[in-house]
Amino acid sequence: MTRSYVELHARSAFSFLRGAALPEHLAEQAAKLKLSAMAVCDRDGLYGAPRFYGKGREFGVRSIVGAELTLEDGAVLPVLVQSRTGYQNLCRLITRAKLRGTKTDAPVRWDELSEFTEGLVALTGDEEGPILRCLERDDHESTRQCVARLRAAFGEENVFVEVQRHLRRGEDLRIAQLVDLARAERLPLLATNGVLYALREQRAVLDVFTCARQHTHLDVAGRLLNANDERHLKSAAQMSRLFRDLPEALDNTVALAERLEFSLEKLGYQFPTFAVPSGESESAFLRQQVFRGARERYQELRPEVRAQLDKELALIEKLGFCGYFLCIWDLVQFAKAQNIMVQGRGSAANSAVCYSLGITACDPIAYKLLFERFLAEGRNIWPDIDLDLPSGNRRERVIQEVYRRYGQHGAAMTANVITFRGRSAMREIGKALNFSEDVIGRFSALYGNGDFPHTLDLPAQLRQAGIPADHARAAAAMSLYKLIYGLPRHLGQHSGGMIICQNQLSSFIPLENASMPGRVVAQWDKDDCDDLGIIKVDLLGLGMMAVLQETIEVSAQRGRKMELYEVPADDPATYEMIRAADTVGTFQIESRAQMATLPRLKPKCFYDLVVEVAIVRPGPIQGGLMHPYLKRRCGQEDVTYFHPSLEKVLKPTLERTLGVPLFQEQMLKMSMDLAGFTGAEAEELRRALSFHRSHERMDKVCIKLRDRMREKGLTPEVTDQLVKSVQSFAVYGFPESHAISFALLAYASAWYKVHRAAEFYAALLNNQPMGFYSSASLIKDAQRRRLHFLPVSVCESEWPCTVVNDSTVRLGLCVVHGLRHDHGAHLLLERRRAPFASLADFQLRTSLPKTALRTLARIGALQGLAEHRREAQWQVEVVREGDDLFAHAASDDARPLAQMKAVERTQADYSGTGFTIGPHPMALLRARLPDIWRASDLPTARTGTVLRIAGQVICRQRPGTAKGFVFVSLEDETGVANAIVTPQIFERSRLLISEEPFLIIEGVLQNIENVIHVKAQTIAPLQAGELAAPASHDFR
Amino acid sequence: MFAVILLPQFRLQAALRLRAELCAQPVAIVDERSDKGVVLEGNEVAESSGVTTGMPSAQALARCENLTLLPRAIGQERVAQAALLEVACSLSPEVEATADGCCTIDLRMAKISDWPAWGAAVVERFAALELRARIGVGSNADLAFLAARRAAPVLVVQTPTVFLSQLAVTEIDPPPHLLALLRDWGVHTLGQLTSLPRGELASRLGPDADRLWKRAMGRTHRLLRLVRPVEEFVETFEFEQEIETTEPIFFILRRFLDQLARRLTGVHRVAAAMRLTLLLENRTTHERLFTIPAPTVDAEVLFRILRTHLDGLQLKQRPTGVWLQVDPARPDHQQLRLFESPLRDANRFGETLARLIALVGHGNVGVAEIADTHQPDRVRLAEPKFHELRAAAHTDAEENLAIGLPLRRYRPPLAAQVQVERHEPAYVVSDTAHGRVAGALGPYRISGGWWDRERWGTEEWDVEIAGNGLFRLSRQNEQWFIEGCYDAQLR
Repeated sequence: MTRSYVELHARSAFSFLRGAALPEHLAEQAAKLKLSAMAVCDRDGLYGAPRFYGKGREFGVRSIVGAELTLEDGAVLPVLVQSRTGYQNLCRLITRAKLRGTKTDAPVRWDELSEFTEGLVALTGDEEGPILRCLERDDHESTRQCVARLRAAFGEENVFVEVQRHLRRGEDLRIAQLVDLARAERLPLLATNGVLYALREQRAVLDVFTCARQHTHLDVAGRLLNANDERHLKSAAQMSRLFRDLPEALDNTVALAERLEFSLEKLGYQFPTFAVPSGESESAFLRQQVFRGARERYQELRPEVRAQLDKELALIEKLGFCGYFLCIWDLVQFAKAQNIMVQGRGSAANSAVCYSLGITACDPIAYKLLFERFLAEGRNIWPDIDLDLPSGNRRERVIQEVYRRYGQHGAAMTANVITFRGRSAMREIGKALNFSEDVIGRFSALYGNGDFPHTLDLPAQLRQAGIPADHARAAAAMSLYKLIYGLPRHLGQHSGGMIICQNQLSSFIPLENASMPGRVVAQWDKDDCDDLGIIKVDLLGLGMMAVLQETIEVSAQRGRKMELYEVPADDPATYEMIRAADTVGTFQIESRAQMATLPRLKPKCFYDLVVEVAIVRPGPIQGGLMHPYLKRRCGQEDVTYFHPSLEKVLKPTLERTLGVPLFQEQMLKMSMDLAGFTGAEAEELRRALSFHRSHERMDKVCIKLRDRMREKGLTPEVTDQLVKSVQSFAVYGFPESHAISFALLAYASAWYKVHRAAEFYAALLNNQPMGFYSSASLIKDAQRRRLHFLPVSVCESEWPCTVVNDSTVRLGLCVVHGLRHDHGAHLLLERRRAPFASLADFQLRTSLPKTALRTLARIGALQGLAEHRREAQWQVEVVREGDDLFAHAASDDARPLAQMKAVERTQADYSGTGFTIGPHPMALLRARLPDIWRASDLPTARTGTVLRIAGQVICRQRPGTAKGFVFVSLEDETGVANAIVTPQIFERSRLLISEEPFLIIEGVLQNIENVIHVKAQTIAPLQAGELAAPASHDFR
Repeated sequence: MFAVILLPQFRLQAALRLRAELCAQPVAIVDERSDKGVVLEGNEVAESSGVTTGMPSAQALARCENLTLLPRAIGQERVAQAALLEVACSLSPEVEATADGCCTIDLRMAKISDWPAWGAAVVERFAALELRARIGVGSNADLAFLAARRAAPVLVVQTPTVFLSQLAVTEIDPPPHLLALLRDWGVHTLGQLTSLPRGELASRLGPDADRLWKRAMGRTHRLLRLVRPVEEFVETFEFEQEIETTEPIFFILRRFLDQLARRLTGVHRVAAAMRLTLLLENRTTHERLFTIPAPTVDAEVLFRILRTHLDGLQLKQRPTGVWLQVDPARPDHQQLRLFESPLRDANRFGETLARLIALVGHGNVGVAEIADTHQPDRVRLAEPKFHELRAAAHTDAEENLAIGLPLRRYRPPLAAQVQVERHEPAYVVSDTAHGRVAGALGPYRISGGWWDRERWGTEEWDVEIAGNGLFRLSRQNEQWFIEGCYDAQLR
């Protein structure tokens, strides 16, 4: 007879190398097996709980929360959550152990268990559990003591003796011992399968993970591996057959599951309230701050402004978000007080309240932005405010301020789940299958720094790596690859997402130490937090914010003050530069793809830039929206609105983008206008659009959209076209407000590049790495714009690059590879005390390590103290002692080393700083490349001409939207030439393109509206000897 | 004068020596132990495509699509090295095995007037062994080495200063930190290096730099670390005509062993192995290696081992000669504790083994070792290590669990037909046991090897067959077997 059964002990892949199935997969399989409820107990955490809960709800499987706790003696104790108190206790207990221990070793102490056991139920566990470990040693006294300890900690009713049957010889004896124990101690028996994977075939994954944990491979792992594949999720019928001798063990699973009533739905999370001055309410205080800010922003409070603010404030108050807005406002105030540039992005830019509070920088009323995109009644979720901050120390100061305000247990970064992707998956598989390092390395190299399964299938890639299809292990490698791809590998921290809580955050999510000192990270990622209604504040670091802040500060110091808000709009010179795609170093519009669009879009005003930022995105490109827009813009195509019958409905929404939907807001409005979506349904669509993790979510909403449009009588063609547009946005479509925020920075950066070039480029160099280009490319670009660079000099340079005059920048000590900041500071301190009299004096007073001295000598930074670089190199090798009376005297006048030649100087510059301010390496190779076209000469060639270009590879890209085409940018002494490589040629020359630092490309020139490309026919390496190449922007 | 014999691209030469078909194709040897599979050596065809030493194999393949990448052929390298030393030792008693594929010979006592001719003759000797050699001759060992590197194929250095000044600094293998520094300084040739003031250089860069400077000047004189010619204990004899019986072989082998035993005793060695080669009338050979269980110089014992083998030997060709080599070893002085003996008579045991081998064939005799796997009864055949043959205590946790009735295994398992009812065995038909199943325990499942072609999986049952006893059944690929019977008497 089949009895009812609930699986109460399962580990997901979020137990990191100890489980082989995603929690979603476990939930789906549980539903297939008709299990009404199931518990996931990940090792030392609740990592997989939200996903299991979400999927379980969808499939009608009640999710029970639990965890396996590693105890100080190495035993592993599974616990299940009965109530909210129990949940909070479990979170606190895990947090305490995690924050006390290290990333890999954070056990719970036996003596602290009892403090946190209210609302929790303990199982005695599997072979790693405390009881079986004692029985394994035949230590019956310890077994009894262990039971007593568990009873004392969890209470009489809350300890279950767990029995598992995995069809292995010898286990019947253990089960008999456990049954005897349970009867002697009057404890209930509980059957579980100790599930480690959803399906039998995933046992192979677990074996590979076992090898990874034990640092071994399958050939020698022996009995470290599973004996069979029985630890998969089983149905009630299967479990009934296994435990027909112990029916009460099965019945108890159902009885216990009924007791475990807690659900993640009842989390009880609250966002912090804001401490307002006594006697004031949060809403009154917020209104006060909003109107005070509005008077500064708008100067005059026009009726429509006042009306908008009243409307927004009323809704904010009604939804109970006043405290949230005040907290964000307070954080922005802190940043401004600390002289940290801050700007809100995302949908917050749609709010006049945010604009008035100084959170965002663009006026939503002026741009007619939809407030409902940001906040609407009935959405029942928190508004999303993301803050952009200058990357680096300034952002860290704001993050640390959040920790300071809310305490170590009150705030945390959200996690970032790092999953097994192509390279990492095959590396682990290859190691387990005992492939040589050579094979694994070659497999990785074949990716060309990106995953491209669409052009090189797995068997071909394995074959090229040295594992042909008939290899004994090729089949295993391929099936494992499919099973492991996408499983979680480890937990990182999100780049800027922080969560905070009114009470202790650690009562709602377990927290742990991040690898970065001073950071605490939650066990859930931002999507998990979002799903469970935990509010997240994104404190994102933008390199360009740091650059702009520095540019503004230095300009002010030099008497050329121009704050961001003072930057003149519609500056002709700025737009001229943008139209010419001379945008290296600017924000957003500097990438190869953006540069290829700018000459065609020809921006003339700010809104054109907003469109430019939004249009060169995977969403609009994949949706086939980019080319229609460009054609309509230059009059090559009529402006239509999908169908003449829809013009009246869609024109108000799409007119500003010439009938082409480019922004999320337009998509939502169209769904409301054409499919009759309600506000809540539009919100569901928006969440599907921005929820990158789930294709399924997107598919579901698209079906709904299609059905509704059909019901409204739209033709299948129009419906298809609209749905395709919507689907493309799921990849990465921009909200209009977000595009406006970014366009502001793009325009400002372009303006500073034109009008404050020295300050701007100096700031760019000081904030590397950032953006699309390396320092080497930025310097060559600046030089082409007639900016002059002075070399690093220990007698002249400061730590950062500094502005000498409007057209000259002195390179700072910060660009010197291997020179530590404290050494640089000491050098500057000594120089300020007294100028260096000689090289010997410099050496003695700075006490720099030999490696730093050698680099400084090699790059010519000791000029002024030595006649030439080689003389400095000879002199810095003299051993000088501080107490040597003659140390300050020049040791000898000999200069036996010959002066460096131009090529040698270039080599030295690249090795010491990563760039050169001297001739471009291609200039040195030019003499032997007589028939190669220079980048600057390409505009003079006719379309269709077959020619050859050559240069340093500064960018290799293979966008997912380009159907396998690869874009390669070659830099020479005159500029950058772009080549397009077809998928066929790429496959032929894959490793050549990925590995060679210099290339010669022959092909047909295409010049379409001043956008020049060479369509590659043949590709060859350019032997550049020892000339170094800077870092390139590859496949990102 | 000193001479250096260099086998250029030694690893590549060794690997390709028996694979002539690859010589015309681009081939490179890779270091499989390195992360990126770095190229160690590439042939000319590969180099002409831009493949260079030290290049990651991925980049090498990028440059040369049809490049064949080979791992190092360690065995072949040993053979080539042995050939190199053999030739060198025939030229002078003072030979240094300088590196793999390189040896230095002190020829100061030799009366050679025409060095180029002498070198050419040596190159010829290597050519006969299918090896390319370069010969360098100079007034000291280091100079000769540098000459060998530049030789094509023979170079005799007459004026060292002129020769050295043109050489790259890398030729004298400076320590990496010095090489990097010298490159930074723009010092690329030995001439540039020696133009630096020696004292100043040494005061800046230390004694390593001073030694390097002296090498660059060709002024170093080092003592060779001489290698002695390999001691060989070989005896050989060719019969005047093909022999029909084994008696003449026994007679001559006994004489060989007496002689060899005397020679071994003279150098305080014992025989650890014997290699017997019979030359046959069709110019083929019959070869056999005998490992001596307890190394000895007892000619009688050694002879018995050979005789046991030859007694059971049947050859299709008649022997025309016999060749016997003995591998010497130091006598084992390990004293065992009282009453302790690794094997009562190791040589007799060895003899027994030899008889077994004669019966069942070579490769089918060894020591069974239980493999570390869940697969029951999985063993591998290991070479007998006579000095380690002791009863090892078995402390396997899994075995400890197997309490209950002892199982007598059938090896191999017996095929059976089993009727299954309600997922359990109900009736068994086999030669050994036959009848209705009165009770069954199971199933027990074990599986493994899923990553290989040797994937296996077994389902086991313990059954009581009415009137027959208790048995262990197994099912593999839908085929039933009786694995063994439980011995109720031994409980």
